[in-house]
Amino acid sequence: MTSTDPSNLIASDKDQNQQAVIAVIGNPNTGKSTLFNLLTGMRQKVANYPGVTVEKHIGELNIGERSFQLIDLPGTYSLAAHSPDERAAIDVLLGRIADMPPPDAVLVVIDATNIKRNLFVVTEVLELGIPVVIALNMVDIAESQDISIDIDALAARLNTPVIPTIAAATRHESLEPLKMALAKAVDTSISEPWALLKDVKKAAAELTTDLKAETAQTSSSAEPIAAYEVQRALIDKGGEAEKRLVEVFGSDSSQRLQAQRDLLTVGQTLAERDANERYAYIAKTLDGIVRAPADNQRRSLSERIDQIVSHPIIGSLLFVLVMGTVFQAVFSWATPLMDLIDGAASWATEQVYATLPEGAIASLLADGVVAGVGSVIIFLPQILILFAFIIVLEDSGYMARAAFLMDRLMRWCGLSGHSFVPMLSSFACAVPAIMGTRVIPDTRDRIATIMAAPFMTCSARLPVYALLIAAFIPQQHYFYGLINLQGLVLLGLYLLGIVGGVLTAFLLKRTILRGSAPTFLMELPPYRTPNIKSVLVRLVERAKAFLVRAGTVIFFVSVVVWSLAYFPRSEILAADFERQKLAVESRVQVEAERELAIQTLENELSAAQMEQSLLGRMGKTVAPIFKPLGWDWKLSAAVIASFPAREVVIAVLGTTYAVGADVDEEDEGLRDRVRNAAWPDGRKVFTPGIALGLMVFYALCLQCAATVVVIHRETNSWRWPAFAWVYMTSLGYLGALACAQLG
Amino acid sequence: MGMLQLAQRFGFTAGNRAAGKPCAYDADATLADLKKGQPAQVLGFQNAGHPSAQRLMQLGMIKGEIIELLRSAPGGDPIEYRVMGYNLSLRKDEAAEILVENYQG
Repeated sequence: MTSTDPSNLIASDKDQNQQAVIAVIGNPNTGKSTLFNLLTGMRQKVANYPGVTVEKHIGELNIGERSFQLIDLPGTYSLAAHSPDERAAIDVLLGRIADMPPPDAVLVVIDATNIKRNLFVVTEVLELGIPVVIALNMVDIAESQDISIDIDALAARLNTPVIPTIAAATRHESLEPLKMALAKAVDTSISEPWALLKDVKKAAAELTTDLKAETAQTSSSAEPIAAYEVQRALIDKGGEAEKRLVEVFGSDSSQRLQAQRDLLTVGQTLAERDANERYAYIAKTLDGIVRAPADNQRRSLSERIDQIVSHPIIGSLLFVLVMGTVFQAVFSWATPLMDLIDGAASWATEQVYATLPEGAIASLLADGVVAGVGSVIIFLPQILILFAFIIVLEDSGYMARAAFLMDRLMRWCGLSGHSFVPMLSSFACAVPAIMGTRVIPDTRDRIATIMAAPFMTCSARLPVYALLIAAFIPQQHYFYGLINLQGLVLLGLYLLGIVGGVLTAFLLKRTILRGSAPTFLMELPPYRTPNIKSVLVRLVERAKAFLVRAGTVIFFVSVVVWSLAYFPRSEILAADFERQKLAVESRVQVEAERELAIQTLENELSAAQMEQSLLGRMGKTVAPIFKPLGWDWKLSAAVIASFPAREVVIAVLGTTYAVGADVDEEDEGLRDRVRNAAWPDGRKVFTPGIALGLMVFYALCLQCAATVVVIHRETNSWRWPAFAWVYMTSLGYLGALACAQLG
Repeated sequence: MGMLQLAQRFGFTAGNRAAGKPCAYDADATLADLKKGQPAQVLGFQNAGHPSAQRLMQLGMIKGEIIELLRSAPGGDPIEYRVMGYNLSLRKDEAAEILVENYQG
């Protein structure tokens, strides 16, 4: 007997000081996460399960004097797992996750308006031998649909406490009965777990004993295997449990499983028998205790909304309107807030320079720390606005309709309708878009979407395009002024991003992300009013996740790039500057002229310091690599410095071309300097081909630390962000190389 | 084309779904052949051993369950069905994996 066998869990064995653990499980769209948020409030931690992209939500629940740990498991219709992500639930329930004891009780949230399908996973959880509490959620909605459920009879038949809860619960008092039941369940122990398919359970137990005995003879370190895992391996042919068994006991365990399956069923698969018998048991359990009107009368309200919302024409128009609003919101509603943050950062920079003596400390604080913090929180408005929309659209049930409408279109690039909203939002910013890919249930689709999203023309690319287009693309008009060349180039860059993203998703889905036949099994849940408190809890959690996990890295990268550009400082250059400054001050009498002359000197000093800084030297070192693209060392250095964020390239170009760092894309001085920049032999640096190449480079490359870090966070690996960066940078290089040939 | 047909053509009427009249689906009919207002009963799967068949069964696609078509997305795919008291969307080729028979209401 191993301690991980859940049937051995006896509460009295437990360390009194250890916090009891309660797992929360249930079908998607049952209000499970809302209930979890109401029970735990803001006391939540979010992390990833090891090796998969599923998020682990852990919260704290206080009941009287006692404190419990609540784990919100991903929404699931069954404990069967056919992908590593789906395994997370069963791994938690069996205590397979490191540093996480097996739960002392399980809270199963079920939807009272759809009790039959919701009870399926209940019958599976009851077999684990862990005390169960059922929250019969949305009883208020069920009541409004004239569904009546004899709760006491249901509890008696399932031999499990059933607590009614309401969807719109906002007051904690209404959750008191549920809390009491949970506290009681944690102290309960189950000696003889219930089983539905007794012969399957028996066969699984025997096979477990046999396999363990055999490996005990050959190897000393046997991995723990619970009888329930063997049972799952029997039922879920080819699933995750079978894979694990093969890993632990070798490939012949697969044949032994099949032999057992053949003994257990005739004329049907074991999975078929399992599903049929569970639903037969559920029908028997519900017989006489649930009274509901005929199905076609019940669905009226949601169905009436769908007559319009899912209508092929009106629904499509409405969809365009909703998506237009989301896009508009992320793109332009966020702008005033972002300007505010930008303004605050500039103000803080000025304050630093005004109060501190000039030197490394002031520069570190102003250009390193303040700029770094600013470059992190500048994303918050877009993240918050996009997520407010995503969460409300999801909780109301509209997101599923959007995916339904868009599936056909997205299938074009090998994705599904779920990818549409994240793809659209990446036109504003890839960071919230990549965080938003959580709405995509299929892991492969999700990663393909994450890889495609950074190609879309985001708001940070616009200033780079604006500068280069204004400087190098002539103001030419065609068709009586209807079309101008500058606009055409901008459109081309947008299209380049779309084509790049679509092709990337297409190729990935046909190569390394190729999976079994794509599925689009999706429940279209009834329309519901989102719970405001739950929406807010999740919004705060998203923002926190970004600030803590992505923010720290982005900040660190900003400081590193600052120090590359700042160190070493040349004393000779500084002394030279002081001498010239004194000369100017004594020579030029008119104050305005004097200031201008000193400003020019300062800019020239910055440019000279930049040239001999580590960054400048790096620019010169890598310049040969960028030579085929027609780039000089200044451009090479600017491209390196803009690794944390594309838009930084403008400030760095401003410094290297000695017009000052506080330039923007509208700056005439920078535009002229860039236009006139020349090689030592007098040839122009920026020919139209090379300028176009630079734009193509910025369209295709992944010069955005925030995106890289968010890809890492969302894929839970460094492999994907590394791949994305190398892949996109190579594409950018090749694109720029092709353009440079244009001359 | 009369007004009613026109209205149906553009999806403005719900069709005759309440009647649930038995109609003649072929012996090898699948869920992809389902017509609006003509429910059928689930018979089984083309390949019951496939993981997606298990998933569908767990979602309620079990023998004898009544299923009806609600609507299809623009372009006719995916399709929204009503089964076991809730709405489920399937792609057409997934629906073609599920065998149906006439509803003997």
